[in-house]
Amino acid sequence: MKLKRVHAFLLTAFMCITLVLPGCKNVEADFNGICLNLGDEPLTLDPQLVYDVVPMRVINAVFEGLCRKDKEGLPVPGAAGHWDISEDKLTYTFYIRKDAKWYNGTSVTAKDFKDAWMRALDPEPQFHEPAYMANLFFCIKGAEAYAYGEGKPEDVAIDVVDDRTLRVTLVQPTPYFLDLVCNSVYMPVNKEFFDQQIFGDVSKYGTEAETILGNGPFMVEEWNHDESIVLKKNDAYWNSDKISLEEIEFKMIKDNTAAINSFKSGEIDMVEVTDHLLANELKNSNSRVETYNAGIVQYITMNNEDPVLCNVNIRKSLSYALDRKTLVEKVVNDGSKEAFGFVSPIVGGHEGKFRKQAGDLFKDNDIDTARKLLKKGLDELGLSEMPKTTFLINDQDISKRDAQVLQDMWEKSLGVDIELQVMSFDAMTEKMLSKDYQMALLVWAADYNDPLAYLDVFSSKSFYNVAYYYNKEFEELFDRSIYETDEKKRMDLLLKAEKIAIDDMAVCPLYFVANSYAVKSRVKGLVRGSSAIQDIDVYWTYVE
Amino acid sequence: MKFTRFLLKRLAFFLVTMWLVVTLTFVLIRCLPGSPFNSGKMVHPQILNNLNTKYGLDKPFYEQYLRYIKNLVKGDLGISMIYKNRSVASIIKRAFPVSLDLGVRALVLAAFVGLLLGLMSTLYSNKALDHIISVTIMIAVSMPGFVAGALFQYFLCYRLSVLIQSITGVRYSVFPNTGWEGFRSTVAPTMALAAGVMGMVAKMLRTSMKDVLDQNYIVMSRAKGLNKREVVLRHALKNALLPLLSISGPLVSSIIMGSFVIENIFSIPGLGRYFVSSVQDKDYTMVLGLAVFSVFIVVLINTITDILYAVVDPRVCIESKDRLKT
Amino acid sequence: MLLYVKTAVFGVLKNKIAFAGAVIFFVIVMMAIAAPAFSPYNYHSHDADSIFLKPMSKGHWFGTDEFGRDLFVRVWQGARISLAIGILAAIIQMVIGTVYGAMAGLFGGLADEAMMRLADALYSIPDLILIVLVTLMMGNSCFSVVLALSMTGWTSTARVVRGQTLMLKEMDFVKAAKVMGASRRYIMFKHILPNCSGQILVSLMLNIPSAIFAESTLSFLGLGIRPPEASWGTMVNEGFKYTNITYHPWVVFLPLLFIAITMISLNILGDEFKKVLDSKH
Repeated sequence: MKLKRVHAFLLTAFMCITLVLPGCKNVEADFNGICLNLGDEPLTLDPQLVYDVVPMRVINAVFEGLCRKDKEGLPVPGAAGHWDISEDKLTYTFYIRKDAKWYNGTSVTAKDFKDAWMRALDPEPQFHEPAYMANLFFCIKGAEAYAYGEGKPEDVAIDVVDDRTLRVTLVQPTPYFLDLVCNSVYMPVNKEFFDQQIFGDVSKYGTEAETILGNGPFMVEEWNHDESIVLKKNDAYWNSDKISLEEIEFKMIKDNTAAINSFKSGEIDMVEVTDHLLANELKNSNSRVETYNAGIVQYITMNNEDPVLCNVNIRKSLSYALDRKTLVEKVVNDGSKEAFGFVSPIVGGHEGKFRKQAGDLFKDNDIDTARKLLKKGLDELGLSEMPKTTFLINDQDISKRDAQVLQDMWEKSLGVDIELQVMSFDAMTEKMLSKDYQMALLVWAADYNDPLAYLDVFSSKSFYNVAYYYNKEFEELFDRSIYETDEKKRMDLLLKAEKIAIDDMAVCPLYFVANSYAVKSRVKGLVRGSSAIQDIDVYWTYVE
Repeated sequence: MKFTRFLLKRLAFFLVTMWLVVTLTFVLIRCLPGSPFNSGKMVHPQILNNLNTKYGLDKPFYEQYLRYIKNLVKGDLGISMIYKNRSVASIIKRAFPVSLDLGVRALVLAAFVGLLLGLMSTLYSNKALDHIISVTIMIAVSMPGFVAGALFQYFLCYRLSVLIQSITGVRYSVFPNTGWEGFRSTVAPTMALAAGVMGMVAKMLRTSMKDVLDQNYIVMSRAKGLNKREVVLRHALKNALLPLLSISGPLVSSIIMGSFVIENIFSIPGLGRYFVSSVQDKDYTMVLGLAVFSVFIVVLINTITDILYAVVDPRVCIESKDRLKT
Repeated sequence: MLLYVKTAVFGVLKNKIAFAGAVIFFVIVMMAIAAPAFSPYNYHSHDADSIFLKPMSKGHWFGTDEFGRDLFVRVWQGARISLAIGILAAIIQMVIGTVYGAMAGLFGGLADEAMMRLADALYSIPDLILIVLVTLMMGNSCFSVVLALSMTGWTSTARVVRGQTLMLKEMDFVKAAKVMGASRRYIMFKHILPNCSGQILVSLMLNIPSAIFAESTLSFLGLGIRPPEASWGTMVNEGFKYTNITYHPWVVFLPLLFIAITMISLNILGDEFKKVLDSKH
């Protein structure tokens, strides 16, 4: 018994001592670095192979494309110092900076870009899988054919004129091409380094800290899988004197409650905030709350070929019956705004924003009209009442939350019975692609900042058109806009096209998603939402 | 000789089980709708085709199966379809030791505290302390794991750091909310995981202690004049610990189930999350790899337990078919 | 057999604590059946103006949740689902386990070995993978959750029953029956099972809480039943995720409290039963 007591005492004393020993990163000293929550383990840090926002946050700091986004989300010179665009807007010539260097000191050449772009397009790559986002290259002449295995690699119109000049020829005038070029799939690769990472029949490029070589403002110092990524400033970067931070640590905290606890305890400097009460709590002397719109739309896609939903009046009635104001203010409550059109408010139009010019295309919570249209639609179909309709949602908590509210609204205002079916996103995609669904709750995030990125959803030629919408007039306007070189005329065509699609209520827009986050007061210049898919930019960040 | 026979039988069992599990899992995951390549974003149909060709998913079913078995025999678990170009074996190799570490720490803590509670309960049986302990055990056993995790994180990690800040002015996390670096970050998760399990241990120990104390040789010792404390500690304890081995199965699986949840809450880089995420993301190679690995671990643990049982209790014959396993 | 069970039950109920446990459980079951029918509120209708009301306000005894749904009704509706899933899963586990174990014990020899090895093999597949697979294949209905839970839990019952069968097999009355020409099935149903019934009942009673547990862990991992249906587990989970516990603690703690009460009362009952049975032997 005595022995046990002594043991217990020693154990307690030992534990107390270890507790008091200082940890290092928590104390707010002269630490010129920040700690952010990445949210999840990146699937890879190979720029050509990523398709998800999580790895892109890191890649945006470690690599740099020909162009990069500025604070407002407009493309500005990156690795390319300047460029020429031909009269017919089909040929772009990029001139790469003299001092653009890889982290290991070697120069960035035009060949590095061509190698990267070709490997992304390669339909049968040997050491890695085909790039998910290769379709972003299809605006380049010969690219699509090559990816389909029908064209030859030599026919792809990417030319290395000399070490620092790259020439690209496009299929049609693509006013948003510079925007595309900022994407991670367009970033360069150092082929020599890449070849050194090949083991057997698999390339380890992008899987560990040692197998990554970037040309961006930071480099990957450590990658502790499932735990953290540590970036250090890259002194070989051409603009490194303008970069203030010395170190960035990305933690991978999946559970947001844990992340919030972590933030409040001072362990991380930024956290996503979804609850408005929490937002109020965090607006104090220690931290501030910011909101940004990343161009994401929450909407309901409807199968326009379904025997019931093919009727435009029924689709309209389902859409008009929803009270988006209540949904956004009382349920979502994070700064998101109601959507009465499909193109996001952050998209630029000809004069100012597209959405501002287009305006709201229908009324919110118009229950009377909804009821009339429902009756009209049912009569046209020869039905006495609306049959039970299935509504697919993915297994995320936000989707379940929103869907329950919508289900309740439809029941109360129209008396229709909507059945929720929860499934994983890929199962849902399978059903949508095989036309085996009625309604589904989706999120649309544009790959580039242009109305086309949104209206693509309604084009019959696009594989994203899971609403199976077809309208001859829309198709005409859409096709004409692709070849229109005059900016104003093009926008007018696109404005008209959106109006047609929404008048037909091909899909039912719900709200434009805003994200809120809390950040510590000492962190300044953190830019978020300059692009839908690369949503954290640490270029201008500094610490006080 | 007997031991070698035992090992050989075990090996045969292992191989048969492995084959069964792999086949069953292979069939089951293919029955699931969806594909690994659409789990984040809708992919262009041509690119989807290219991806399927690259991973051999366009070949006939039995051909894929045979290829997997062939590789498995060579010891190659393949590369993950979601975590690009990373081998399944390397992911498991990195993540498992973390989960094992957490599990062992929790087991040791649970055993220690459970033993303490069980002992006190027996020594002071039917007094007030015993009842308090029974109630505590009841409550601990009735709380789902994630509750313990959330509560520990909130009070031990967050609240404590706020408290320290209000006292000293310096923001300092004594127990970090997340992560698995250094001793301090292991404290809260270990305690949360142990909380659920120590109830089981304490309960078991109490019952087995009672049984042992009724035995003849104990009564004899008491009659000889040894006081209660000494009797319990010196004689009863050893024999009461034995039945603990019999609940080792459910104990270990409780720890494993519980660790998924705890790893999620505390962002611990263990293997737990892959069990759920790989099935949800349809990462076929990862799911199969995990199934193979689990069979291996479970058979290993069972074998070790059986050996321990035989070593500790010479009455048990290691090959006895009638040995009652509970 | 009935007499045997009756004596056991009465023996247990004499114990004050066990009696309390039984009463509490009974009350919970009754409320689960009756309460949702008598309340003016619906478990799934939203009321955006009444969100997050505190308990005992404006006719909402337990307050409201983030959608304005009445928590009193939701807790009892959730009780229906949690209890149904728990009891059903436990019963299925019991039936499968008992039949399997008894057969293995009776057959003995090679068949017994093979059957138990098969059970061990099934036991070695991690529960979670099986459960996730089943819920993904069959959707998130109550039925698939019950199926998933019962598929993984029957092995322990099977082992217990097999052990008992092996022991009983050697007893004189069974040997006598065999000599007199009784068929295996007759022996199983008339002699073995009734004598195992105590153990089976105990394991049933202890399996229900673990099934309820497992179901709430499933919902934590996002694999539980689909909305707007909610079991206690999904309510706690959604509460943790959507509501700020510092401001609206009751949304999480009320269903949690009921999970705890149900588990405690069932555990007490099960333990007392076990004690009574063991003392009889």
